[in-house]
This record gives sequence, C-alpha cells and structure tokens, in this order.
Amino acid sequence: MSIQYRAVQWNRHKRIYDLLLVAGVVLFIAVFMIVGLTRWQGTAAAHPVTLLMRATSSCAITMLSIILMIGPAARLSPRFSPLLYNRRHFGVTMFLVALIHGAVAVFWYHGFGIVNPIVSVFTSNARYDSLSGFPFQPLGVLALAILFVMAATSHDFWLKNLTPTVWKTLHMLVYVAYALIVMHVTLGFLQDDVSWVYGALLGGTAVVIITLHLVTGVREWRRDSRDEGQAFGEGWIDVGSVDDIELNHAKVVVLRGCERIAVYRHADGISAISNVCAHQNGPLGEGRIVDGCVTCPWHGYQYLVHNGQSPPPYTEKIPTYDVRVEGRRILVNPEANPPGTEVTPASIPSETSGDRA
Amino acid sequence: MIRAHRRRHLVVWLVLGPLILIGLALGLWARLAPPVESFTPPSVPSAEDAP
Amino acid sequence: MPVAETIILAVASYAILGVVFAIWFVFRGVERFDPVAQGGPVSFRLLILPGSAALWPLLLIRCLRALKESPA
Repeated sequence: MSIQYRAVQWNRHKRIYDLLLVAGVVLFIAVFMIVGLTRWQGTAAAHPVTLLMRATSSCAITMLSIILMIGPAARLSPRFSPLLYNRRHFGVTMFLVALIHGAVAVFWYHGFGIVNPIVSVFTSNARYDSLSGFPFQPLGVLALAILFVMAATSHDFWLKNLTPTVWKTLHMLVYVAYALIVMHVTLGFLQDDVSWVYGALLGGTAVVIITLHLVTGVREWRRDSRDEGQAFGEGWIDVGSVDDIELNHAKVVVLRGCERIAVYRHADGISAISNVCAHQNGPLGEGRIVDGCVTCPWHGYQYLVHNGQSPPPYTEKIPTYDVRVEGRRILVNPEANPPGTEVTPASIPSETSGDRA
Repeated sequence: MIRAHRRRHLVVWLVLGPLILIGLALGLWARLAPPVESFTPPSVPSAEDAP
Repeated sequence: MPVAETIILAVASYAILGVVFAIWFVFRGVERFDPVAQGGPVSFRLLILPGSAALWPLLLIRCLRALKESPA
C-alpha cells in the first residue's frame, strides 16, 4: 500500500530479513574462498579470481534455487510464507551476486584480447553444433539479461504501471532464466574434469524444483474443481455452509469455473470479496481478518471486508459480491460489483432458528 | 483470470521441466562420450573458422 | 564476425538512448505519468532508472499518448 513511493519500504521484519540475507551471501562467498584457497594447493591450485567466479556463481544458483522453491513451498505449507513476504529483496540480491560473476568472467576471460570483450563472449567459440564444446557463455549472458530486467522492475512503481498481469508474465521469465543457467553450468563447468557431485547436485535440485511446481500446480487444479460453487437458482450460487468457516477466516470458492472469491465470516456476518489482492494477486482468502481488515497473507495489504476498499489514506480497491444466507447455506451472486462497492454483510441466523421448517 | 494465470505456471513447468532434464542428461552424456574436445582460447581463430 | 558486432552495436545504441531517456523520465516525465510519483525522493527515482532505461520504448509511447490526451 502506498500513497507515495519510497526507494525501499523497509520495516523491522524486512530489515532483519535483509540483514540475514546479506550475512548469508558474505558468509557463503567467504567460506567458499577460504576452503578453495586452502584445499587446492600446488598444481591443483585455482587462481583467486577463478575462485571468486566459482564462489559467486555457486552462491547465485543456490539463491535462485531457493527462490524458485519458495513459491510452491508456501502454497503447500503456510510455514514458508515468511520467506515469500520479502522474496523481492532475495531476488535483487541474487541478481547482484550473479552480476559480479558475469562481470568478472567477461573481463577475466575476454578482457585481455584485441576483440571487444562483449563481442568476444559471443564469437570466441562458435561451435554451436557441438555439445561438449558448446559456447555456454552466451547462455549465461541471456540469463543475466533476464535477471536484470526482473531486478530493474522489482519496485511497486513497475507493478502498478506495467499492470500486474504484464508484470507477472514478465517475471515468469525467471523460469526461462533458470533453464538457461542449468544449461550454462552443464555445458560449461560440468564439461571440465570435475567431480560427479556437482552434476548430481545440479540435477537433484532441478528435479526437486520441477516436482514441487508440478505437484502444487496439479493440487491447485484439483482444488479448483472441488471448490466449485453449486448453482442455486435465480443466478445465485451456493458456496457452502456458514459452519464450514471459522470466525475471521475465509473459504475460497470458484465461481462459474473462472473466478475465485473469498467468503469471509466475521463479527457482522458473511461477506464475499474477490480472492485477488490488488497488489500482486495474492490469495486474500488464505489470509484472515486483522484489526477489522482482511489482510493479504503475501504482503499484508488490507481491505475493509464490507466494501473491498483499503482503509484511508490508502486507495486500493477490489470487487465485492452480493451475499445472503438461507438457513445455514451461503448464497453468492456471481456478478461482481465494481471494485470498492459497499455490500451489507449477510447476518447469520442463530443455530436454533436455522432449522425452522 | 487469476486461475488461468495459475494454470499457465503449470503448463510452463510441464514444458520446461522435461526440457531442463533432457538438456542436463544430454550435457552429462556428452562429457562421457570420447574424445574430450580441447578448449580453444578466445581471440585465436581455429581451423574451422577459416573460409 | 560482423553479425555479432552489428547486434552488439544495436544493443549498445538501444541502451545509450535508454539511459538518456531514463534520466529525463525519472526526474520529469514520471510526474505526469503516475500521480503517486509526484515529489518522490531522489532514491526512488534512481531506483527506477535502470528499468526505465531498459523499457524506454514502452514508456515513451505511454508518455506521448498521455501528452496527446491532455494538451495542457
């Protein structure tokens, strides 16, 4: 939520998160360098610059793997949600580490010839028809370019001005970047005479990431078919019983096979709002009511449950839905009201009056 | 709309997942296959590059 | 290899034009573009500079469109 942009919206949690993040990166690179310098000596010794390249690349790929696991992990278990909360800073830091790796590699391997170093990256090896001798460097450059565009458009300014749909699509390119990086490592470093452990690590991580995404994807798909609301007549849809919903929590329901809504039970009764947060499309129905406001589990954006508006001075608005209660059943009108429309909550009859026949 | 978006994630991984694994397997297999090609240093034209 | 050099020249020109546009955009253009950005701190402006340089054709089109709509 913002009434004016700031460079970074830090709060106490984000500061702790960032502090741990930077400490982790520094520790990783330092340990890698120290172990590398002491372990490989004599003829097997690696130049400190080569070691720095390996340290930054190992660090960046580890970070990227964690980033790719956070999304599906948070969908499988809310315990991982705190990691999701500030994934943006994780991503930008990962890009900076990868950038160091790229810059060092370009100037160390291509910076001392007569050819422009950048041109040299693409032309010094033209064996695009070979597998084991494939020019893996351009793959890394392409991946770095994708990560740059993503890091450069991380600010909420871009989310708003590119529209969330375009922004999300742009940021889905991270999957392509990951594929490019896996091939960059496979056709580069792994073609050298190195231990099989590295290949196993890379492959094992890839299998875990792919499986996590496929499992959560299929699970969501199944859940959508299960949570489909039932037609009630006169256009209303039966979305379940009031007794299914805990106080100050919601049930996520799919309307007419395409829209997700969050049906909230609160002190004043039942209200239905869009399940899609105006910020980053977070799942509002998986949040809860905090201080009288529906609070998004992803980044803490808040909305008043009866009109879908963020409390002043914030200006975000989401669609609301007309709702009524018949007996113990909740009925929702699938026609969404314009974002921010006031809807009187449906009051819940007391248990005993529920079974008048 | 949002549901279609989530489906897109699944479709992307259904395509990209096998591709990544095939690429990885091919790359590792290439390393096994002899002879190991030697690295050509940058800026030095190799015989293949000659017209 | 002239093909590679041509491509890199094109990318470099795109980037230089982008940086020039971005400097104007983050200090002037953005004010008209997004009311929330009005009076934003310099740190915020510098933070959106790389993105503005990378996506400059998109922003330029939007700026021109906004100018046409409000010829004030």
